[in-house]
Amino acid sequence: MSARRWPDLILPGARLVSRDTGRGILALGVWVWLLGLAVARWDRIIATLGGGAVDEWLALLTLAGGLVTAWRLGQPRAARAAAAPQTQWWLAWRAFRRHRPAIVGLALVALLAGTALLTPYLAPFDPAQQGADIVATRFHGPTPTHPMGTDRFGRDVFSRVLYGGRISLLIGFLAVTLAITLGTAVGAVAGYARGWVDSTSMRVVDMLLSFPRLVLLITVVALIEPSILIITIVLGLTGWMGTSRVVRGEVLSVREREYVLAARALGFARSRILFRHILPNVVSPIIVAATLGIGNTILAEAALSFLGLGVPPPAPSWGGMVAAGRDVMLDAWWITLFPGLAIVLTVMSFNLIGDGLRDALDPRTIVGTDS
Amino acid sequence: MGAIPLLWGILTLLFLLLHLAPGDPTTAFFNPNVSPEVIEQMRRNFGLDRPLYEQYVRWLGSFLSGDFGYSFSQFRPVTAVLADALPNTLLLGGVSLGLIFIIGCAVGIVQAIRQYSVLDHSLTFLALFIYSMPGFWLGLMLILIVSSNAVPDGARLPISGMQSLDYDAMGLWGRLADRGRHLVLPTIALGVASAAAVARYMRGSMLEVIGQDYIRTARAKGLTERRVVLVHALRNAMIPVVSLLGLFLPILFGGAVVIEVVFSWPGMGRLMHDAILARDYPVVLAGSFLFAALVIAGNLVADLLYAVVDPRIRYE
Amino acid sequence: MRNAWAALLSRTLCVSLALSGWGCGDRTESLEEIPALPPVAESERFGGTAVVGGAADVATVNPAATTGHLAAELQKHVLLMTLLRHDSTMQAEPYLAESWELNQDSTQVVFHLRRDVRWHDGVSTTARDVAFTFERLKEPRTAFPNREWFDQWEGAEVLDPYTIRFVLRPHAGFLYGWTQLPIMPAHLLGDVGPEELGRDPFGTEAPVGNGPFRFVERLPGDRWVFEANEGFPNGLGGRPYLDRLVYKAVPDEATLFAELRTGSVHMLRDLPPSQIERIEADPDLAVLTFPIRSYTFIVWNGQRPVFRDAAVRRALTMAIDRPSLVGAVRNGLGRVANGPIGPWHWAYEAELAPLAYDPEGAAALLDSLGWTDSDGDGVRDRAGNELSFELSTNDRQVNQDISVIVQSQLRAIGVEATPSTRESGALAAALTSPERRFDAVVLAWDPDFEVDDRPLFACSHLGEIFQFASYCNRELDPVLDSIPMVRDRPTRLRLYRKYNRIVQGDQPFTFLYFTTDAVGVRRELQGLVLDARGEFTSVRDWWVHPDYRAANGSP
Repeated sequence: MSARRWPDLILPGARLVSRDTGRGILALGVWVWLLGLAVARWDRIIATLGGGAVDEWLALLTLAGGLVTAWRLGQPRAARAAAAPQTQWWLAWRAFRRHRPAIVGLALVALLAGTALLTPYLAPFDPAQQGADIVATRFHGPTPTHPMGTDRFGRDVFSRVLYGGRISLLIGFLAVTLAITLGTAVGAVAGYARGWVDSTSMRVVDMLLSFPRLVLLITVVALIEPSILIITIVLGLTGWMGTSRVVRGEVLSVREREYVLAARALGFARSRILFRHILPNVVSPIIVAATLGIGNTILAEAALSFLGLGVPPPAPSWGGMVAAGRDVMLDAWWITLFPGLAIVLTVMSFNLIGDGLRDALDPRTIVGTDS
Repeated sequence: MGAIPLLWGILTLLFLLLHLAPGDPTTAFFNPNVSPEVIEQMRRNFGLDRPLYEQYVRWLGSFLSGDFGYSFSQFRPVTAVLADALPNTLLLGGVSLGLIFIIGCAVGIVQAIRQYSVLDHSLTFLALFIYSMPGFWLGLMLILIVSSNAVPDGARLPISGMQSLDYDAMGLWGRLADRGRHLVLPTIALGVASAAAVARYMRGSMLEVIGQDYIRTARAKGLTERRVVLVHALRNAMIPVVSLLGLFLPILFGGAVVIEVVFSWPGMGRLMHDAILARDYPVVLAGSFLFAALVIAGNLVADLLYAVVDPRIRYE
Repeated sequence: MRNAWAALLSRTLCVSLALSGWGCGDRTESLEEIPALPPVAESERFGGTAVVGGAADVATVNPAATTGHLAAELQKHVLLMTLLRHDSTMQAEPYLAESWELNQDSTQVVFHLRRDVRWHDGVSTTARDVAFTFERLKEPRTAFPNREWFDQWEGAEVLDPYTIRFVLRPHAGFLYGWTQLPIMPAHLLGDVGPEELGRDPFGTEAPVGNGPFRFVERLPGDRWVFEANEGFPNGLGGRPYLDRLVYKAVPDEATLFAELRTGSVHMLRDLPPSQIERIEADPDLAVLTFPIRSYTFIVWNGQRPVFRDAAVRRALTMAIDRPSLVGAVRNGLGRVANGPIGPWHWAYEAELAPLAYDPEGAAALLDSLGWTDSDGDGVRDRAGNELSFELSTNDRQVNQDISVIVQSQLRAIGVEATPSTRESGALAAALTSPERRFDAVVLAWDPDFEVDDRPLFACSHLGEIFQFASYCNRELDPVLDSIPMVRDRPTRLRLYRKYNRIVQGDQPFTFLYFTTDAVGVRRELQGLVLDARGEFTSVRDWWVHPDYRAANGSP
């Protein structure tokens, strides 16, 4: 393979475009974008260095990390480290890589996550900053200054979409983490213990699944003061049932395998068998459920916010923004359109990855509807 | 008969949630012109002054005897309130469900037959796009499209409610057509995401079936491709898809809340939404009961359908 | 013949321009002139259907069950009758009672009822009905929402079928309750227990009244239909001009507007401010505005050390740009409030300017009080306490909008208000709890026609549920105590003015704006009188221009 040459140093990936197109464009694109951002927002970066909020430091780290990653990605193969060893994960990654939509999804999620982290530098305006004269600055259509227009208070919709993304993604990740943990715990215990523990917990799962999640969510959230924390917890607590079913099924089958039987014969403690021998082998469906769960959770959060029961204002949330634009939709469509598109894009990215993972990890399973 | 403890459990949970949360139905009278004593008396008339366990026992007792009580916010028996809303939701949900399966299956079959074609790929992408869309946003976008000036007045679909003002003056066909026109947009907004999911399932299921021996045999016998696909393959491919029915009911009812709010559809979803906000406990509890019962009934129907399409299953 | 349009236009207060427009100006002159329709002889006015549309349904028309505005209007003006009613200056005038007498020491009132009023089922309306309604209202188990109207009244005595005598403790505005309380039919409801009265089918399925319109049918969530009461007393004008009156609930704004435009709705009540421009653009439609009782304010929790100082509260008020707030959240449909007494009230003090919007002055005031940003974090502080608080609202969009605007404006002077939305029930519980679990709240409500604000501001009411502000000014108490006791208007006016000034100095609330209500009307609907009494005050005199009757497709 070719060695490193000077263009690789300042324009990583440029020479790769002809041979390894995807990697080359990705590396070059990210490099140029981040570098451009760093130059354009130089003043804000300096301000951060002089003492900034946590999210600004995060943005700075992301900027630096992104530049390093893009640079390394753009180097010719020979210049990079040797191939990773052939572990189970590496094999799965190889299978996953062959699934092109999934790769696109992964790239999109990376982009979204990067955008969320970089928001303090990306957003042209403070999301809560209103027009000096509200009546004169509100309901402006998209212009170069306000690429997505302004809302009813003269706030920049683009900046609010960016900041709203942070909240949606944060809630999505945290709620799904909670849901997956809970679902795995219940599923694993039920599947491993069997007997009345199993039948009781699956009864409860059936009960909760037979009830429309959104109705449950509305009831709970309407009765307590909504806050980001509450919403996250409630979404987590109402989203674990699908996972627990899948995990239970897997555990039921894995626990009868020879090596588990052997471990039991050797007299290992139950918890050790469960954590060391069984759970690692049911990780794949859990990952799939988690990825697809994020999409569903973001949708549920958006629906709640749309009904006015979600993230409280003035924190921007996509569902809330759609709702706020509703009564002026015919005159100011941009307020409703763009946050909605952001939801679709985000949820779709996660679903793309989820589909790819599912195919890569286990071509047979068909799961994933858990809301 | 496992359904009854399930229902009882969830309703008890809701009962506690509703009663333990701050605020109560008298909040609507929150105003310095209404004296605290009057509010106290209202709570007494609603029975809300009793200890929680006593309220629970009384509620459970009347519930079991089929008495759902009076709606706090509508001043009518809950049964009458639900009787007004339920048929509307069943209509909306039923039509959506039908469309979900018809469109979903049709798209899935087309994709399976043309596997890996451009059509297949674009439909897969489209389905994913639609599946990732929030129903309320899709509904708003549909309203936006219908209201745009590009649409001629005569072709404008209604965006709210379930009948025109002059509905009473219409003949039978006029009424049917009017109701149909009102159904179009909410049905699409409610069902299209699920239809996309059905299409994905159908495609996978169909591909699996098509690859099997008996299909090859059928082809070898010289049957037309149409007959092979629609008669032999379809029936077997339907089996796993039918099981989705039970899965979709909760999704449909949940979605109905948002869609009915967007399209002002006077159904259960909007009723529940309003009742929760107004703390109308009897309506929330009875409505939840109805929702859960419908889902359980739907699952039973799905099981029966399963038996119809899959000859291997026989119920004693 | 009085031209209703001209009369209404003169009431127009303030309607703002287009979405991207210039904010609030007084548009009395600029409101388009409606081309006059061809004149019509009085006899030609009879007939036709008027459809009133609105977003909310009316759950019940039972006076014992509801305080809703629209429900109260249907009760008082359409279906039932009150003993007395307000004239346009808010003085009591005869209605079901044709006259009344007060004894020498103001402890007894005798009402003489009209003898020609019948319930819609043919039975005469008599003093027995009045006594029944009064007794049910006084009975605590009925939980009659507005029982307070008659706190000073006791004992009814039917002297003859058309004469009734009451015993009362002397007080000002003593006739007020009788202008609000619809009389209910004793012969139909006499057997209903007090607890059951509120949910009797009388209010939802089979109302029988004695007012100008009788009940025809109701489709829950959709419409109420009334028809002319042929037997309405000639002494009160006789049967209404309209054949039918329909109230239609359409939750969706866009649909409602479309129906107004096509003529299937004649009047759109509770007009969303954002729809004004669309309606004004249509030559057949007009926006009519009128002040209503509602005002919007921020209550500061006086138990919090920060808000205990009246100067701090004044500074906060000065830092909020209320004129632009009215433009932003009400599209100009409102007037910056100068206190608790709104323009609808005879004692409204138009000359009293509200505290001016003056962010520099507010900043200077806070500086002088020692609230400075000593740690450079953008938020003022004093002795280690930040000038930061939670600004709560319920889930109504307009209140949330206000909290967001206020947050932004206070931030400009270094005050940190964090908006938080609470569920209405939870918010009410927090406000009324003895611990007052809130910092500041955006609220709106309607004062009663007889303004008696002791529950809000009197020291004697500290600790009671509506004294959210925990505000006490010994100078104010005698004023508030005298207002309900003084009967002559000039003296009361002086008291109200004193009240205004004390409250303006102390700012226990920041009064944001008085609401101006708006309705959209089709030109063919005539005879409207709109003011704080409501939209249906003159419903007996409404008529639909004959040229338009065929077109509106009335059944």
